[in-house]
Amino acid sequence: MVGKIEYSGSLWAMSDTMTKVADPVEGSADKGRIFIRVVRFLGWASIWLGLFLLGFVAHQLFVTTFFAQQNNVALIQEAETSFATVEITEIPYVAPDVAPGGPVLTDPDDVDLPGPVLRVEAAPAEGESFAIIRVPSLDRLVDGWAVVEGVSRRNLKNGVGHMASTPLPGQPGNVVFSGHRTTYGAPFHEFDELVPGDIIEVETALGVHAYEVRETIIVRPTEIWVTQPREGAWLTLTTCNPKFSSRERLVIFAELVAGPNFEAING
Amino acid sequence: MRIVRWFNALPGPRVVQVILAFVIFVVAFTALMFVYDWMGNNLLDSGGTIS
Repeated sequence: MVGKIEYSGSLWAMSDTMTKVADPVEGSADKGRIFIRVVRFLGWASIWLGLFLLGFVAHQLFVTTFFAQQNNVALIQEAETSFATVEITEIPYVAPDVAPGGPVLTDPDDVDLPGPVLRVEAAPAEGESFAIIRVPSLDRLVDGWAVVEGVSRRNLKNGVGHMASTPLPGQPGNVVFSGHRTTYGAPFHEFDELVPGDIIEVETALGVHAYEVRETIIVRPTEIWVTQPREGAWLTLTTCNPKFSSRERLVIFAELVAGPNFEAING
Repeated sequence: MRIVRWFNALPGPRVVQVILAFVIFVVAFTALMFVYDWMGNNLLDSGGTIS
């Protein structure tokens, strides 16, 4: 049985019932029309795909950053307001024993001897701006970026997020902050330029806590050991790596070197 | 112009067509932003969390 390709509107159909042999000239014209339609379709598809990707890049790099910077101004004001109102308490502090699973804090009620006093602020609510991070050696963080409680996607759109399961800045243990590298203001954009010895300042209601960079490593996003408790007082900063990819994590470990609780923790 | 043909194909009088076009634009724009947000978080920058 001889078939012929028939064109009807935008649909092509193979007719099994026709017995007429296809005309070579007519078949060539049909092929030409098909070719033109395919080229036209691919052309328009490329244009729309290009516009879609252009919009995506513009949205991610500029729109999200514009709104994040607007939010950051308001969140820094919110943090500064909270500094004056947040409740601060003082508790006796005894250096923790370090167990294989991490340090164990001594119950303050069990401490009778007078010793170092640790200043502790009330825990912030989820999404609340409670601290400001500054890195004098990085242009983007010289003036500071607000730190909000929690590292959910929504929280990180507003700035740097504090992992709620870790201590607050200036407290013993391992404080963990996460932040965007390329979108939403990209507060951690230049973190690959940090070197050991650089200072990271975190201002809270207690005062300014200064951390000194000790080590920078690159890990997979699932390596949660970097967030686990550590002896002394540490700040761990995590962000995406490399830039424009979330394939890995750039992790910066910094140790407390000055601040309201430094003497109590290290003395 | 295809977009004018689409607009004229909307049902109702001119006022209703304008309102419908506006609603369709807002819905499409919101969906586009949602897609961009999802793509950005999953492909470009997830926020750097460890989990």
